[in-house]
Amino acid sequence: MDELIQQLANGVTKGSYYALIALGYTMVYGIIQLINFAHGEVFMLGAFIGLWTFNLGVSAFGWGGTSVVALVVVLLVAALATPVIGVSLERFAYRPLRHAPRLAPLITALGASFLLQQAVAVFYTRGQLQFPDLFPSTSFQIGGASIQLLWVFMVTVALVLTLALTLFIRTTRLGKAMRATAEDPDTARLMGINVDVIIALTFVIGSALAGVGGVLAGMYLGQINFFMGFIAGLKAFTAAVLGGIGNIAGAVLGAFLLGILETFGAAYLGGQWQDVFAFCVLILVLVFRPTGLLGERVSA
Amino acid sequence: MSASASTTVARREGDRAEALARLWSRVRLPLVAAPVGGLVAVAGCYLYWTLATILVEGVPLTGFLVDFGFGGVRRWALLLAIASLAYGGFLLLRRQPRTGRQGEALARLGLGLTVVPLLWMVTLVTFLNAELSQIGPGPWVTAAGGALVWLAGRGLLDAPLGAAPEEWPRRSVLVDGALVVVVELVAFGVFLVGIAVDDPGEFLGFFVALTAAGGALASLGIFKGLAGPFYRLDAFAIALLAVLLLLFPFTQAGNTFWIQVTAQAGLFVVAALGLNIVVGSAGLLDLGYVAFFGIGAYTAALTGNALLTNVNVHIPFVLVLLVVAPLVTAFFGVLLGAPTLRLRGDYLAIVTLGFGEIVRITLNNADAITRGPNGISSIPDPTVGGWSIGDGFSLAGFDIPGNGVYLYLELLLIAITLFVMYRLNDSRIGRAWIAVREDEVAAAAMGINTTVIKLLAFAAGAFFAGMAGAVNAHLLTQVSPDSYTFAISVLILAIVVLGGIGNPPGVALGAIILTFLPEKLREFSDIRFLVFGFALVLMMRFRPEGLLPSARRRRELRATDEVAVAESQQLFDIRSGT
Repeated sequence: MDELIQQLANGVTKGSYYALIALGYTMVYGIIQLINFAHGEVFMLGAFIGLWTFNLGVSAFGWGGTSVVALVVVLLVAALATPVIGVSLERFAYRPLRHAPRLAPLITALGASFLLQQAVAVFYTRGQLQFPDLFPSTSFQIGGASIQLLWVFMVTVALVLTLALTLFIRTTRLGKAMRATAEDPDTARLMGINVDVIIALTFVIGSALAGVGGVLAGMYLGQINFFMGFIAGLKAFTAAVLGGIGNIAGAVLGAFLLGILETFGAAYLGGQWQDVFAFCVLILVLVFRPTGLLGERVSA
Repeated sequence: MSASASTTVARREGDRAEALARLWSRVRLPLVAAPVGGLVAVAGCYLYWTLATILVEGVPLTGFLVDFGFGGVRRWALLLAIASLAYGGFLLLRRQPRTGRQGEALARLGLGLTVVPLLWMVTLVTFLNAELSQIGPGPWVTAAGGALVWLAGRGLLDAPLGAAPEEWPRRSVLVDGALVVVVELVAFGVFLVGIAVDDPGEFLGFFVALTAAGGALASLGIFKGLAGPFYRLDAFAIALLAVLLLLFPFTQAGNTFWIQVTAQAGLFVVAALGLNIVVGSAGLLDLGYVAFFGIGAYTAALTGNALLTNVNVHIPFVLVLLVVAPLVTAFFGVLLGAPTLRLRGDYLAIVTLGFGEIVRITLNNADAITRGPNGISSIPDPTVGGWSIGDGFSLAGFDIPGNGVYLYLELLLIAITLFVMYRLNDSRIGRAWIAVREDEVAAAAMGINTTVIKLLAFAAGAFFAGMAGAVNAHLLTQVSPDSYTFAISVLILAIVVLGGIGNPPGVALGAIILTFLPEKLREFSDIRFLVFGFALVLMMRFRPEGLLPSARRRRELRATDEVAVAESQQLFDIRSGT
């Protein structure tokens, strides 16, 4: 029983950062039907930007150990810097190909993913970097399971951001424009919506969420490297498909579900089979329910 | 009277202005600038390129860069400069470029001429820690001359573009044949020169110069024109190319390195041709193609009598190569295909990617059979009779090393693959693939069994990957899960995309470029995947149909009215018999 709770907690925590990445995948797919392969790299860059910010803070303001200020600043900077990357990708790589056949932007996305990954590897480092403990490493017990406070924080952040995003899409004018664009870009344009701006906005939101996810994952995993975005991105996309792509609630549900399934799979099959297990889940879902658990639905 | 006088004066002035304008339009500034730029660049090539001794791994660069003797990168800059001078001079003598394409050609030459010295300086400063002050005036002057030529070319762009280039019509078989022979010999020569250029910095210059020259020829419509003779004499062209490739190991004087690289490129040609069936013909994006390559390699490794292995089954290589490995991979192709049939394109991409990862991780974890991360090593060369093909052979005083024999084997495989591919494409199955690619619903409505057709595409693609993988295991004498990562899937896909989806010669060109370039630029190997990603993005942005596109693909990917009109015009021409 304790073991069960422990694994569940691990899985949910993992699911929280998968969810933050999956939201970006699902929104971009929902609006321009593109698998943005480079999105995992935006997540990775979020972690690196977080680390650089922290190091800067250490040298400039003497940050050390855990501090609320450092945590908030690092999260904010990551969330503000990653959209620049996401929007540049959209502007220079994807927008020129919006009316090209589907294969072209997909290959561009692959290339962009390689480019970002290797840019970090070449100009910064190929090694593992320690990520600082920005959050107090206290833990508490539920039954016999030991739960870290960080995990609760991560899940809370993921849920709050999802809620905020849902509210944004459901209630604001921009959210409405976003839904309209996802539904039918041409008609949306006729209704006076600036489709280019809306698509860019989608990338801004998606990248910011991935950036926050990157910092959280960095704290959770304790170390980061240039390659971390690839598998995480793949998993997040799996999660988005699992929940039904284009569907925000679905992406989050899928992410938590995948995190939990994966943790249990790793616990009972052995850690080396964890990724195989995740991809098998993906294939099974697509075979038996190609539209995902909650069905494909356009944003919100 | 005064009135008439004034009109005369006015007319005279008018005449003068008109004459001046006419003169000016004849001797246009860009027309003069082009040969001047060429001349400046030539002069730049004869100036000092380095001022001080720059050490490269302890060896001074002075030898061929400070002296007036030619060597190194400035040789290629000089060739481009002479070409610019000659072509600019030719246009000046003709007074006027007839079409904007000539201006474009000039601009491309100039751009290349600017980039070669600049790139040389950048590599010198960033990779060899040279100081900017150690660099002489030569590269700067050459680059300036190049920029002048480039600007001149841009200035001439305002001339009407003229008709789209066309294939040269048949004159006589002899002319066509001579053109094919000359072009293939030149291409083969360029290939040999490229191999002979050893220094990576110089190779970069060579490659840029080659690209610029190729670009210039392309804007003049030479390649489009040459397509005519090549289409008419395709069998002869392929046979000649095969003969040249058979001769290739003889040119290397026993040095096996580049033969090995060519053999590796040959394997990628086979694999890429297989992927071309899946992606090009059937339009199914497969991002886990490396899995089949890996499964083929492991099949050959497990049955190939390897020294370090846990499985001691031995099956003759010929059987493995032509039957066992391809059939095993084809089986896995169907296994992957079956659950993914209902998926749309993008989902398919991600599932195949997942499949590739599943296979790699499984190979890594199934220690009992695959020896895990260590892989299987010391795989012996296959033997025919008592002769191990790794020993090579001697012919007419030339020693052909073992990997030369592998190259011959691959040429045979490529021939088989091409034969099967062309036959398939012309068959009901091939047409069904295209139909499914274009519109699955319509294809199903026409009575095509889309399930079977898609599975066949997966199986056929996997089949050839299996063959390539089997040879790969023996060629490299070892297999390990690290050799079959996602990056290789992307590499094979990039080969298909770079060369031109759906066009076998293009695929071959893509394989040669993408295998040789990293080997040639080994010094910069750190950044090669970076460049690779950048190249994919740029390629999709500016030339999505690849370097040598098939006409059909070009139309699909460009889908501009201009091209469509040109195509339909051609169709019309053929029908009306002109």
